[in-house]
This record gives sequence, C-alpha cells and structure tokens, in this order.
Amino acid sequence: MALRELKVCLLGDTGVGKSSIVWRFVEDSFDPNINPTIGASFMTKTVQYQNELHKFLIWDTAGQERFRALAPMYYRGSAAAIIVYDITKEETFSTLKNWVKELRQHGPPNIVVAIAGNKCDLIDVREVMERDAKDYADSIHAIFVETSAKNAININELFIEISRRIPSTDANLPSGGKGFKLRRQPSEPKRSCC
Amino acid sequence: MPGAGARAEEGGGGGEGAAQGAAAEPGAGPAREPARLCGYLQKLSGKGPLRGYRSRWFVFDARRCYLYYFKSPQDALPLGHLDIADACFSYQGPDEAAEPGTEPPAHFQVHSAGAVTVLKAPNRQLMTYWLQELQQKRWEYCNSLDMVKWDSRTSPTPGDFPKGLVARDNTDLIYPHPNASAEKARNVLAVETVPGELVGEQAANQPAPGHPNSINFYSLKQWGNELKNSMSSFRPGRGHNDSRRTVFYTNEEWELLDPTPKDLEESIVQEEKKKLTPEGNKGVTGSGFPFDFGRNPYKGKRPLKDIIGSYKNRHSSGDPSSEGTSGSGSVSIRKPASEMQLQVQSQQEELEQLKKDLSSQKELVRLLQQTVRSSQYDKYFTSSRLCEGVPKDTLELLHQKDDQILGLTSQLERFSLEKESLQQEVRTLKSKVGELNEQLGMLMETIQAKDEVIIKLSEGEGNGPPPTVAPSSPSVVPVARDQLELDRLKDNLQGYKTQNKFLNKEILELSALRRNAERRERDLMAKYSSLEAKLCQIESKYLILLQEMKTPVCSEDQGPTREVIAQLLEDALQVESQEQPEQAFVKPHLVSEYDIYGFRTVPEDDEEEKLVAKVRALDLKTLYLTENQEVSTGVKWENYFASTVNREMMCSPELKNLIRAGIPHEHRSKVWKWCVDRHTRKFKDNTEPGHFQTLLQKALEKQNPASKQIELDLLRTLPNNKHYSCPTSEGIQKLRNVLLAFSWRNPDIGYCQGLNRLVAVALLYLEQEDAFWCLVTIVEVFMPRDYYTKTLLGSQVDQRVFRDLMSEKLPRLHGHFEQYKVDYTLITFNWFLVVFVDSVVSDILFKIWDSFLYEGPKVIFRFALALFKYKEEEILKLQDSMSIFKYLRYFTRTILDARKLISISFGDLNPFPLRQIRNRRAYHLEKVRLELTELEAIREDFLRERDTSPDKGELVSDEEEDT
Repeated sequence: MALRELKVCLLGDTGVGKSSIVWRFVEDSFDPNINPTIGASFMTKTVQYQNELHKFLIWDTAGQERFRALAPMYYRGSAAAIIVYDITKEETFSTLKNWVKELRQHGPPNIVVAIAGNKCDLIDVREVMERDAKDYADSIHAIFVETSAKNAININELFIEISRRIPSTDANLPSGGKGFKLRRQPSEPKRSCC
Repeated sequence: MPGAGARAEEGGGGGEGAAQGAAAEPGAGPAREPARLCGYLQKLSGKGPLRGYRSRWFVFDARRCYLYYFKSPQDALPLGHLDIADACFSYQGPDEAAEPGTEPPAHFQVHSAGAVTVLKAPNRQLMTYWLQELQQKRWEYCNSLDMVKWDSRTSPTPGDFPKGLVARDNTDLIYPHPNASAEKARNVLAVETVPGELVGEQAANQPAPGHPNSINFYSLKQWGNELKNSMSSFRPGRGHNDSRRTVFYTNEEWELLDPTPKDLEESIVQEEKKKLTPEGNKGVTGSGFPFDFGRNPYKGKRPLKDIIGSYKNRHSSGDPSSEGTSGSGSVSIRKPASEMQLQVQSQQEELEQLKKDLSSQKELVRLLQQTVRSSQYDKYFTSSRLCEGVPKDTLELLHQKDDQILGLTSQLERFSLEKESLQQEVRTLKSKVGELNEQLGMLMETIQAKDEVIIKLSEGEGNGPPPTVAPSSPSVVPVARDQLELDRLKDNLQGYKTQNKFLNKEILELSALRRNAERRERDLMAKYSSLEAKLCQIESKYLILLQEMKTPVCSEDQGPTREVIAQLLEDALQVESQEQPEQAFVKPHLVSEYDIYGFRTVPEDDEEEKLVAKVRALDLKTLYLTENQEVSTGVKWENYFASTVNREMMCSPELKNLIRAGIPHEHRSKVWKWCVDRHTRKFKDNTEPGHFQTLLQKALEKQNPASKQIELDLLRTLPNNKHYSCPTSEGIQKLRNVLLAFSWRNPDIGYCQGLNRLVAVALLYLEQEDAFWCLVTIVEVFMPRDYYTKTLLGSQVDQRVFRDLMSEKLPRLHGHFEQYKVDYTLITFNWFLVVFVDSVVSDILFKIWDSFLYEGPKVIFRFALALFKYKEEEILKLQDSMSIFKYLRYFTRTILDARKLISISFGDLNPFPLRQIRNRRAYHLEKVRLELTELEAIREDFLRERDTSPDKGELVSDEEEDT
C-alpha cells in the first residue's frame, strides 16, 4: 500500500475551533478549554483512503490576527488548507474570506481548500446561514462542510473529502471533483529555509 | 556538670576578646518569617593548649534539623553541623561559689551523634533562648517527620510569604497533629505559658508580636538596645574573671540606635505601672505569709520563655532601672524589687493588725467613760438633795437614796470589775500579738533554713558550703548584708528551679520523642513491607509481561496477551483512591494529582498521554528523591539571605549562580518580586503610585478591542493548572485584571495571545500588581520592540537569530535539520513568545523563569539551545522530516533533569555574548522588515476591501454591542 504524506494547514479566526477539530480528528477527544495556539502546533494522523495510506501532517496555526504574519510559513507546501469559521460568529466568516484571498495570492497552486463551519451543535445561536456559506464555497470550488468538534460531527468526513480531492499520484488527474483554481504565483518570497 | 563549668571558666579566661553577638534576625523586615533561628555562639573546639572558645555563626536549618555553623554569616560553606533532631541539651546551674552578682555561666552542652559540643551564649538569657528554641525546633522537626509528604516539596516552614497563588496553596500542608497526647505530655510545663502570653501586652511599646511561640528581635533598633543592654550586664567588676573583656561583634551595616528620650520615658512609666499593679493586688488578697513565691509577679511559675520574654521587653524598652539596680550590686533587676515588696507587704500586715487593736481599745475606753459619766450624775443628784435639808419627809427618800447609792456603788464596782477584765483581755490580746510576731519571725527563719537546705541539696558536693546565714531576727527589716546574701541565695534557688524545670521538660520531651520515634519506626516498617509487597507485585507483572512478549505474537491469536496488557494498563493508571489518613500514610503515595505549582501531573482524558505522563511523573519523582539526598541548596539560600540582613538584595555573581541553580519554592515569590522591582524601577519612578489601579479602573469601566479576546482566552490559559481551572477561581480574576490593565497601558500591543500564559505563570508566585509589572518587565524591558505587536516582527527576527546561533553552537544538528528541510523555528517560535510555558515540565519551567527574570531574554536563547543539545543524539538518529517534526513536538517535555539542562545552558554553551545577539538582531530586523512590507501591502489590500464591505471592523461592532 502506498503511503502519501499530505501537509494540511488549518487557518481561521481565533476561537473558531481549529485545534479542537485537529484534536477530534487525531485523538478523538474534546476539551472545551484547549490552550490558544501560539505560532502553530503540529500533529499527524494516518488514514486509509482507497488503496493508499494518507498520512496527514497537520499544521494547526494560531488564529489571532497578529499571528497571520507567520501563516505563510505553515501553508507553504501544503496540499490542503482547512479554513475554519464559527457559525455563531459572523465576523469569523469575513476573516475566512480574507484567508481565501491570501491563499489565492500566496498559497501554493492547486491547494485543496476546505471550508469548515464549526460549532454546528450550537444551532440556536447561529449567525452564518449554511446556504450562504455553501454558496460561497461553491463559488471558489472549495469543499464545504459544517462540523462540530464537540460532538464529532463531520470531522472524519472532512478529511476523507480532502483525501478524495487530492490529485492522485499515479495519474496527474484529479481523482474527485475539481481542484481549487488558483492563479500561479510567479515567484515565491525568498526564504532561507524550507 | 562541674567539669563543664571548669572548662567554661578556662574558656572565658582565654581572654581572646571573643567576638560575641546574639541571635539575630536576618532577612530584615517585619514580614519575614519569625521562625528563623541564627546567631553567634561560641563553640569550644581545638585540642590541648589551643582548646578554647571560638565565635561561630550558627544557623538552624529546618529542613534537616541541622544547626550549621559558619565562620561568618557571609560564608557559603558551613564548617560543620550539629544534628538537633537526635540531640539532647543540658546546662550548668548557677555557680554557688561565685561572687554575688556574678553572671551565671552561659554555656550549654549539646549531646548529639555521640559527641558533646559545648556552646557558649553571650549571656544567660540568650542561652535559655537558644535552648528553648532548639527544643522547640527539635520537637517540630521530629513531629513533622511523621507527616513527611514526599510530594509536597516544601520545607517544614510553611509559606510565610503570602504572595501569589501558589503560596496561598498551603491547604495540603496543614495536617492534623499526629499525637495529641505526646504534645500534651510535653506541654505539662508549658501549661503555665498561658498567662505568659500577656508578656506582649504588658510591654505595649513592643512592636507587633510575631510568631507566638518564639521571641524574636523585631527591629534593628531593638536589636541595638538588646546589645546595649547585654553590655550593661557585663559591667566592669562584675565578671567572675576580672580579665574578661567583652567585644561585641557588629557588621558594619548594623548600627546601634539609641532609644529616643521619649521611648525611655514611656518605658519608665511602663515599668512603674508594672511595679504598682501587683502590689495593689496584694493589698486585696492579703495573706499574711510574706514568702510567697507564687505571687511574685516577676518570677515563679512562669516558663523560661516568658521570663526571657519579660526580660526582653524590659531590655528593649531601654529600662534605666535595670542599670541602676545592677550598679548597686544586686544580682539581677527583679530581685530587689520583689524583696521590697515582700517587706512592705508584711509591714502592712502588721500595721493593719495594730490598727485593729487600737480601734477595739478605743471602743472600750469610750464605754467606760460613759459609765463613769452616768454614775457621776447620779451622785450629784443625791448630794444636792441632802443639802436641802428636809429630814422629815425626805428621810424615807434619803433611805431610799442610800439604798440607791448602795446599789450604784455595787454597780460601779461591777463596772470596774468589768473594766478590769476587759483590760485583762486587752493585755492578753497584746501578748497574743507579740506571740504572733514571734511566730512570724520563726516562720521566716524556718523558710530561710529550708531554702538553705534546698540549695545545699541541689548543689551537691560541687559547690562549697554556703556562707553562714545570719540568723534572721524577729524583726522584719533585715540587715542590708543579710538581705543581699538572701537575695543571692534566692537567685540561685531560682536558677536551680529554672534548670530543674528545663531538665524536666527535656526529659519529658525526650521520652515523648522516643515514643514518637518508635511509632514512626513501626509505621515505616509497615510502609516498607507494603512497598516491598508492591514491588513484588510489579516484578511479577513485569515477568508476566516478559513471558507474554517472549512467545511469538500471532496477529490472529493475541487474545491472552491483549488481556494481560489491558489488565496491566488498567492497574497502572488506577488512581489511588482516597483512603483513611492512617492508611494513606502506610500506603506508598507515589504521584499526587497536582504538583506544587498547581499543574495536573496526569491529564484527565487521553489514555495514551496518561501513561506517558505517569511515566514522566514517576521519573521526576525519582530524580527528586535522588537529588534530595545531596546537600540542599536551601542552606546556601538561607545563608545568602542571612548575609542580606540589613541591605537590599543586590546583583552579584553569587546571587546569579544561586538563581541559575533554581530558586527554592519558598523563596521564589520574594526573589521574583525583587527582580521585577529592579527592572521596572525606571517605569515606576515615572508613574504615579496607583498606576496599576488606575489602569484597572479604566479597563473595568470601558472596553477596548482587547477585552473581548482576553475574556475569550481566560479559561483557555493553563487549563491544566488548578488555579485557573474554573471561571470563579482567584487566578482567573487576577489574570483578567492584569491583562486588561496592561491592554490600557500598552495600546500598541493591547493583547496578544501568549501574554495570558506569561501572566498566569507570574501570578502563581506574585501578587496581582507585581504580576502586572512582571508583564511590563517582559514585554517592555526584556523583549525587543514589536515582539508582541501587530506583525510579531521582533519574534520573527529572534527566530532567525536563533537559527544563526544553532548553526554556530550546534552545527551538526543544524545540518541535520537542513538536510531534511525541517524548519525547527516553527516549533521554537512558541518557546520564545511564551518563555517555554507549556513546553517544558513545570519544574524546569520555573527554573528557567528564575534566571530569565534575573538575567533577561538571553536566557531563552541559552535554554532553547540547551534543549536541543540535551537531545541532540536522539534527533540525529531520526531520518525523515515527519518523525523529526513529531519528535520536536513533544521532546521538550521528556526532559526532566533540570540540573543537566542548566549545566548545559550555562556551561557548555559558553561563551554567549549578548553583543552577538544584538548584532544578529539588527541584521535580521532589516531583512524581515523588507519581507513583511510585501505581505503588508497585500493585507492592506484586504483591509481596504473589508472596510468598504457592509460589515465594519470588529472594533466598531464591539463598541456597539456593549453600549
């Protein structure tokens, strides 16, 4: 069985549940008071997809605005980016849009973008309509799913969908739906390492 | 005992002008723990002709119950120690042969570890003080042994420095007293202390009392007075060796302050009052017995401590009367006063008796006079009738009158008889009074004789026969010389009583301790066997496991192995259930739920992690237990603080090295606060005193963009620490306050995630306001500009600086990372931004913070490099980027040996010039700035779009929500 390493980064506003999604996926546990991520944290999990083993190298980034300056270090070379927003907070959805733009400008070409509307267990205080988000995701050809890290809803599905969308190695064709169309970046900003 | 006495004499005769001091209170400041016991004593040492007393600085260390002695308080290494835990004490009684007024010898013996050490205190009072305190310490220590909780790594002295959250966390340490009965037995003598507690009240001019059980010198002023007073008791001509000279040791920092005249006046008034009150009482109770020791206010049934205590009060008040009386040649101050009282008392008694007699006789005379007056009147009446000369009809009357006269005469006769008998009665009463007086005299004589007998008996043959006591005359007023003699004898008697009491207490205490020790031994045996049982159990489990592993594991048929392992896992993770306290002691209690900093040692969920955490906790424990065998740094710290008695702590290489090794838990609050104060002095000088409160007030009144984020992060800060685990806990409130106040102080930063962890760690040892200043220190003093601001420019620069340092200091490792394209700065970024919080185990974290707060941010570089160096070989073994990243993610928490890490960071990595870091920073700053401007352009693009979109920025919406 072939083993593929897939670098995935999580982006999104602070407190939307990026780390919780990762924890749910990797450890299958939930802690309401998880430490705010500083810089980024790193985790891995291997899952089987069809006849391949996908090893996810997950970079979970810090959400606070000022940590955005560091984000390029993490999303560079990523196969996929999961942009998370909080369905109970409208402004986190606007932040998400900014992330999409930044990825378009600076992110790797053909990066698979997934939009996750987290905290879908809190339906009573919803601020972002599923319809609106879905429409937006479709407009940029991104995966869309509403998740709940707390109740383990759609977390694994999210990663399975990413696996599906990652272009397979043997043929350079997309195995599933369409990839995220990005205009190619003419030159990467120069870095001494990586 | 006589032998020891002789030695003492010889020591005194050495005339080496020995430096003498007394117990001193270092770590000046009234907030210091009162229990510290240290001071100068003279130790008899040397051999042959060199044998003599040498002045040593003695420090009692409560951890191990050792009395260390140093050449001087500044020394770091002790010359030796006495084990107080198994010591017993004794001292010499008053020297009978000595001249009256001689200070009794002030040396005592400590029998410990099969040897006898002779120590000499500057004077008798201090000797008793030392003995009392040492007894107390021994008792405390031996009892604390019962309670030893290996998990709580605090010394027996509880956190006297109430700062920070950790310090308040002493509930674990408060345990019930092990054996109340033993304590009771020991307190048989101490029962009398109850009235003695009033000592403090009697001397109202004494500053606030500290620890109720110990007498301390509260201020330097008093200390000065103490010295002065002890000097006065060494007045010339009074020493038993004429050549004896006394030189007082003083540090140059110590000054002797004279009491102000006002103080003196006050103390005189106090003294007067003290003398008057007991006399008044006597008048009321008025028993006729003049020699009642029990009712003497200054001596009698008070324990040593209180006697000393009252001494101290009087000494410290600079009582001039003490000097006056000592000049007149009496043995001590209290004696003449009491004697005078006794005399006055008995004379009053007599006076009263005589007054009573007088009044009864007056009454009698009055009665008699009345009788005489009435009979005279009768007589007059009759005679006047006769003169009228009316014989006829008055004859009968006359006859009648004659009869009357006859009757009256007889009556008169009767009266005179009566009078006589009364006079007789008066006489007998008078003689009775005389008899009583005589009896009184006799009784006094008897008492004196008894005193003598007692003295003789207790003296034994060691002392010469007491000088002949002049037979006391029946008169109550004694001859001055006899009185003096009497005083001396009584003084001696008092001395023996005290000694006797002391020795009795010593015996009681020793036997109680022995019982305790026996019980402890039994308990330890029980614990030992239960540990052995546990070991066997583990051994057997281990063997089963080995057996299971040995047999080739077939993937299909691994049922039994699985089962065994599952069972073993369950056993291993089983939380030790709450048991009865007495059982809990016997049961080996390996790892407690929280460490001393309040961090959970084993996470609640996550089985995998749990096992690792447990292994880690056990390893830490092993380290701690082995470390504990060596001489603790505690003594060094104690000694350091002793050397800072009267001056501020100052930066010095010595302090730096001490701090680098880690500040002991109990001193951390103090040292951290000092560090923070030192770094923020320049800010504090420029701001008004209530700066923090003002900011906090402002923050509580209105919101700023940061407040929302702060609120969001409060419960996410150190969630595994019990001080921050629930919204109502004290830690959370303080954390909020400090972060809010800071966001108003520094709007450029406002709030950056990560600051919350810095504050949370600071709050564990510092008060709210100090934690605020600690944050100011880190952000505004230590870190370069823009470390936490919008682009984290400073942090990014530091990562590049760090990369340069890695390539210089650890080139092999750096090359290895390069080879596998591992950007370790993605990991290390964290370490720098939050100074290793959540990256290393708490023991190491706080040690890093110790030197970080003292030395500054260079320490972060040192430790970051040291962490890599520590595990260099392991990392080099890893051959792909994935496993390297995985390893980097958690390896810091596997490092447990703080000593090794510290020796790497401050030893192996040298030289480590700050200049290099500065240059590198400047170099990279420019590069990063350039790169950031590119990104910034794009971001501004976004922001422009966002601003034009209908939903405005968060800032505005925040404000709207709140209004």
